[in-house]
Amino acid sequence: MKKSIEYKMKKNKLLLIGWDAADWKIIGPLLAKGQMPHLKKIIDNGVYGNMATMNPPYSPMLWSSVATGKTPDKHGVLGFIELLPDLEGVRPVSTNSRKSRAVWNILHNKGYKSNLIGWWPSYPAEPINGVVISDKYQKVNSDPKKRKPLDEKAIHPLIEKENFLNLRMFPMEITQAHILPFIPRAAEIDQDEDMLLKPFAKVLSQNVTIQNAVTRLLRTTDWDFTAVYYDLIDHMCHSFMKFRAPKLSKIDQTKFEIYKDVVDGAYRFQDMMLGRKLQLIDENTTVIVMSDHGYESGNKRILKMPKVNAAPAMEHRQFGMFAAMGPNIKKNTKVFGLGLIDVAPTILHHFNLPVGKDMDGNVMREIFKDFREPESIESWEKVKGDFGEVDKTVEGEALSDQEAMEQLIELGYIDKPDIDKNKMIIKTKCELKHNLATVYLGLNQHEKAKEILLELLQEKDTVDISVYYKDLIKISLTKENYSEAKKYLQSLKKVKTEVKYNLFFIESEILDGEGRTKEALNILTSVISSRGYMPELWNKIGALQYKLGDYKFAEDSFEKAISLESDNATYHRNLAETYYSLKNYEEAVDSALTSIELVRNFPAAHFILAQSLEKLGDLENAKKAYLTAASLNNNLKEKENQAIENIEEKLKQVKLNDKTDYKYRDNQITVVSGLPRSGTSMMMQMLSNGGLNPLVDNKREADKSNPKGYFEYEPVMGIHKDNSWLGKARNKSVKIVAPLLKYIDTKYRYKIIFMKRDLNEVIKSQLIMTKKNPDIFPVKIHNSYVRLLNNIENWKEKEPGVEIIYVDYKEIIENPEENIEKIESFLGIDLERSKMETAIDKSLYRNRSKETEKTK
Amino acid sequence: MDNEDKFPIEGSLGILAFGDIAFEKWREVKIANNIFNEEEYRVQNEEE
Repeated sequence: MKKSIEYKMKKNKLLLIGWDAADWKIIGPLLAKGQMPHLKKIIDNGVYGNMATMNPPYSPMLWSSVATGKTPDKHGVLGFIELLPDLEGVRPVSTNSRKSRAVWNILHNKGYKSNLIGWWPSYPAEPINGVVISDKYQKVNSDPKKRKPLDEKAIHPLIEKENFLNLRMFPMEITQAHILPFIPRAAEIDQDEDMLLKPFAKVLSQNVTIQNAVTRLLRTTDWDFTAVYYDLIDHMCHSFMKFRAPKLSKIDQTKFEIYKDVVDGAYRFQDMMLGRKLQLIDENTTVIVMSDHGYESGNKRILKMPKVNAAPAMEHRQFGMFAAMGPNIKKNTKVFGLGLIDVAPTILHHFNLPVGKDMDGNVMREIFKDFREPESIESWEKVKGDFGEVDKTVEGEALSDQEAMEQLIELGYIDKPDIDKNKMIIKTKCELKHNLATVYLGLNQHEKAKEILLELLQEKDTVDISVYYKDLIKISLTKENYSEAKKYLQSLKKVKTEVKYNLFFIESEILDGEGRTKEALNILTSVISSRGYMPELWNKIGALQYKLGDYKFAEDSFEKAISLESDNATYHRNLAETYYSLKNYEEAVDSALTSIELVRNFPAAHFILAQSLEKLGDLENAKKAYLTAASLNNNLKEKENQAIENIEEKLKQVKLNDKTDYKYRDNQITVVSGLPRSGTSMMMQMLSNGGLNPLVDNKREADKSNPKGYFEYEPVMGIHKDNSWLGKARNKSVKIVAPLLKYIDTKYRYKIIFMKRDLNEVIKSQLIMTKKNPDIFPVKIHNSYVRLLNNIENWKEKEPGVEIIYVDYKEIIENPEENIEKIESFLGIDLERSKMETAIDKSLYRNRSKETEKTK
Repeated sequence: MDNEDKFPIEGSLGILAFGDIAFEKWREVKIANNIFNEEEYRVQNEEE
């Protein structure tokens, strides 16, 4: 006993507890009812927050990222199963798949003692300084008659085997007294028809085994770091979440009554086990409780899993949970932006060890009371020495693990192995490759993902390739290559598959990408009657309505999406943007704040918050919000910086709203815009005469319609595909017609001189130029121009780097001096006014007016 | 009856949550009372 007290006195210990699939959505109400008192203690005395998961959300991949601080493409654990080294069969994923060192390997190298219990994967047990109870230890055979001697590689050091052999609980030992708290009406279950008690007993007994092992180690060993993993919540959710309240309409009422409390019971039992562990540590020990992903508990629960690779993971939610307390952890503080890959760097930092620069995660700065800058090294992989690793070079035998395989099959994570061995091997290879492709997709490494997916299409005779086409479409859409997306969509439609894809989303996105936004919207609205329960459908509808400038409709659609899924940060952000466009800035602020409350590190939400605050005149807070957005988003930094610059000018009371008091911006690009035939060429000529060089290539020659030339630059026509040439326009002028303005690269500062002319005149002039009958007035074109002009106003409001003045074509002809002065002031540069005036040909306007007049 | 009242903190689940010491004691009692068969454990743990 004295010995264990000495152990407790050791400083700076860290206990990491993994609760697979634990979700704040379930925990919150249980905390409120006082039913998870031990987790509450950690929250009250420590930090808590969301834990963002990664794609694909498969637990062995995720927990390996927790252990290594690296994404799966680096650590090599790519699924639930792996190929045998001789490629002649498959087995549950093992330590052998991991190519990177885990945090316990590094601690071993530095002389620390670690205990590792049940980690997924941790078999064969690694020979570290401490004790490893691998994930094979708790998996016993459900049949008590079958022998299940403990595998020698399941525990390290082997000398500990006797100490743990009798701590394994068998499913047959689960009694009525254990079942009733979870399932009070268990006696009513007809076990010939309803087989759910069997997996229940198995999962419960296995988790008790893990608890027995970790409590033994916490009590009796000297340790610096202990990590323990429980699959209780995840596995109970896979079997019983569909029965939890609120009752799903397709669930039988009796079964609902019988099983509705199992999931909550699993959380409460997990908390009870936590309580015991907290008794076995002291106040000098830091504790982390975390999950790898959440679990759908609302209307996204799936009753019938599609037959695809790892289908049950489709119910995994994007956010898991994180809570920690300890001597150097802040108290009762919510923390944001945590990711699975941040855990290992944080643990290394806790032990004063440097973080590998090749790790993808960062130290969680926010959780520490006293934070010192982390140290780093190039890579822990390159450090020579003993890291307590298994010798993979001598590993060659097939690790038969029937129990683990059976459990994965029962849970639906893997299919029953095919009788045809070759087929099974090909399927496994494909699954692992596809998982790697999914990781690359998540990392935006599209080319790497595409290469793998194209390779996988060759296996069309063995596996369902529809999912590969779906991913290829996703890549094409990201790259805005809509013709390619269409090609893959056609191929996907030809594949025989049991999976029912919502292809209307893809079809709509392709149409929108092709500029057919109304048709894109029609596709989505046509499925409302059958899919109106999908929040994402309403969100997409809202986004298209917004794009079309129908803000009131968009508001309704986003509100509908939120009513179906209230905790989706994107929906709230989209609603905020809509309110902003409706000039309802207070509502915009509220929605943006709700979005940020849900996902703190959401740059687009901070940005719209900042813009709304700026409109409300709260410049100081707007500036803070812009700064936050900038710090979170490398891609949009210029945009945020422009906004901050604007605010600082406002704070210095520079009257920028006064159009006669603009200032010159370094490297500004002067854009002459407007509808075709609204005097843009004339304005370009004026600026050129005044001394501002135009960016032109003169490929379009002067003609009767524009006798002085068009002042055009050919790449402008392809600006929607490539706007990289805009750098050439710095300190010059360039003509960009109104519909193309939205494609400019917002990293530059723009001064837009927007030519306005009576819309009827513009349209008629266009009709004459294109030799169409000017007597037939094109109402559709007229309406679309009106919408376009409104959209430009809205777009300008959201682009901090864009300043616009409107110049009336007729007015500049009639009153050039005043307008030229206005332009000169707007651009903030000196122009030769008299020369500018020479570009104005009053006779040309009169002739044009006569022409259009004739047609009236 | 609310689940809150049905979930024992100190009862059978409490014993399991407590971990190794309680578990070994619990199993000992179950075997002593012939609730579980010692032979079955022996078989399960037995080496080939």
